[in-house]
Amino acid sequence: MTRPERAGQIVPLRRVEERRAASSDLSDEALLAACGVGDTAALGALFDRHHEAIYRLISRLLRTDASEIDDLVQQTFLAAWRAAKKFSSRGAVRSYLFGIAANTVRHHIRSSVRRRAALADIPPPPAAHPPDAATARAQELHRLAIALEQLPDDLRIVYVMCELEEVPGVEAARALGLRAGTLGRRLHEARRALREAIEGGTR
Amino acid sequence: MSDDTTHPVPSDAALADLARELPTHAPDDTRREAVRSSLLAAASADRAAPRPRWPLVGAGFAAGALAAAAIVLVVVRARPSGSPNASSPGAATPGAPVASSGIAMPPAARIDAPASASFERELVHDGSGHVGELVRVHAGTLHVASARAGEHVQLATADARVDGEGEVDVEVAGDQLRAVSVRSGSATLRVRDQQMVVLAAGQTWKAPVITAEVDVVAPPVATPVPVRVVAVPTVDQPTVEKRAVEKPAVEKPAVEKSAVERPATPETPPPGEPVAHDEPAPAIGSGARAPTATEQHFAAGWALLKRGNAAEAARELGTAADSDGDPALAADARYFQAVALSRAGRKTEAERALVAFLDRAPHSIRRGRAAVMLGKLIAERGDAKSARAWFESALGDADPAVVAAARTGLASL
Repeated sequence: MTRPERAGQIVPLRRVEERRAASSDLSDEALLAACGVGDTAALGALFDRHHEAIYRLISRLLRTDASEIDDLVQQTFLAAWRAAKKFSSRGAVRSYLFGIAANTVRHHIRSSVRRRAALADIPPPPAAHPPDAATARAQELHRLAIALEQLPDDLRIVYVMCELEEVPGVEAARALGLRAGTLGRRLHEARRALREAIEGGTR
Repeated sequence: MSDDTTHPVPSDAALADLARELPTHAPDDTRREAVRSSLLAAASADRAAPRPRWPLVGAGFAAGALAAAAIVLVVVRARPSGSPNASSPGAATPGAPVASSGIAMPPAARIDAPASASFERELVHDGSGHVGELVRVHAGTLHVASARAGEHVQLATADARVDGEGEVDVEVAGDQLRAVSVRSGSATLRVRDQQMVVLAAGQTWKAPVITAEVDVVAPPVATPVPVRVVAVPTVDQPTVEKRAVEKPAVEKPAVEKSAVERPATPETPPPGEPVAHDEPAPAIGSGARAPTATEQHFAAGWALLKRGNAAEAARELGTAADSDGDPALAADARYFQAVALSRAGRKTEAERALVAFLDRAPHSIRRGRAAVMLGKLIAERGDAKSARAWFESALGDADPAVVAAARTGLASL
């Protein structure tokens, strides 16, 4: 009897909901602790819970193609997996992951010869005269994107974490390995630079 | 006067709000699942191969030398004779495999399997001094548990390798991996021609369902009028109660099963295979008249398809479809010809048959299934745009299963 050929396709994973629910009941800290003893299921649950935020953070820190962001997200969680035993429960796991992601991006930028100024996904402002409200908004966004891209890495990381992701200053400082004063100074500098960029375009 | 006075300096909050409007990247389901699988694979590998520490390097070398010597012993002296532990019915922790070499053997994994399961256990070495156990599974559902935490169990079928740690259920039929469920621990699947997949506890992987297998649905039949009939001579027909057929009513749902005796299923079909109650009941052979040529070819084709002879089934069903008999039955024959062609691996011809069916049967209840099937075939050859159109055309089908399949197809593009 001949057997039909196999289609050779991957079907999406079908998770067993009740088992998944068991993982989802655990706190972030418990999941990270489980990672520390080698539980890959906990790592999967941690990924499920935080990957969107990590994707968002990394894409704000580094404008690059999707596959590179995928790699950085994976590196972030892998680094968290390896360092899980070192996690101290003084801060939130999310902030901890943000700190790892920020360091991952920083190392990636430093080790990368090519530094992209890829702003292709940001539409250039239309040259309208005089600009209406929507056009002015688009121009502001464009200037802000460029300014954010041109910020020194240390300032950009602090700005994105504290301002855009709203990580409390103490946690951000701990996650980034900075003193609170240093973090505050960098945040101030980042805001000033961005504000100047916006103001410069409106003059 | 400066323009600065006309443009207020944005506050920190307003600046942040503006910055949040910048586009961010969010992965789609496919990418996310790929990253997740890759991450878990990397984590598993990371755990399996801890970084060497310098103080232990010397000991590592010594252990490696001992292990190499052990491998030589295994190769020379410890080849399993015959078929080790073959087809152990209801096997529960067979003894440590081939322990006659006098060296430390890997601990035997616990395997629970029904008597019908067929598998073998053997020792393998990976060339780096590590001796492990490999379970070759031919058929059946096995529950495999590592001997102890951290130990891996390797399972192999003709088309896949599974590296499990913890407790894993593996379902195999005809030497083909059908499903893997991880109860605890994790498993890494390497299925031939597919991307590696890592499963964590609570996850299940199932082999792709062959289009043809899910599309076989009973063709429409006329209103049943119980009539005792004799067996049809030319077809491998079971001696069951048949329905008298005046003319197949194509648009009538073909699920009227209650009044009809069905043949006993010879064996429990594996998942995805058509089951007995889904078989079409070829509406031929009533005592009132002799079956037409279309009916005969249809019945013959269906019987061949049921027996797994897809190529011959496609030929018979194609003959039925090309005949001048009943148009509705011919249209159904075209559909099942496409199913047979798909099973036979003749994808291009299957596409043609489906297009012909869709042209010929604008009101058939099988249009949705045919569209999904066609979409899958087209997607397999990379034409996502056309495949999308066919999947979308099936979204309005009355059968929720068809709609779900269409959505799955769209998501896979």
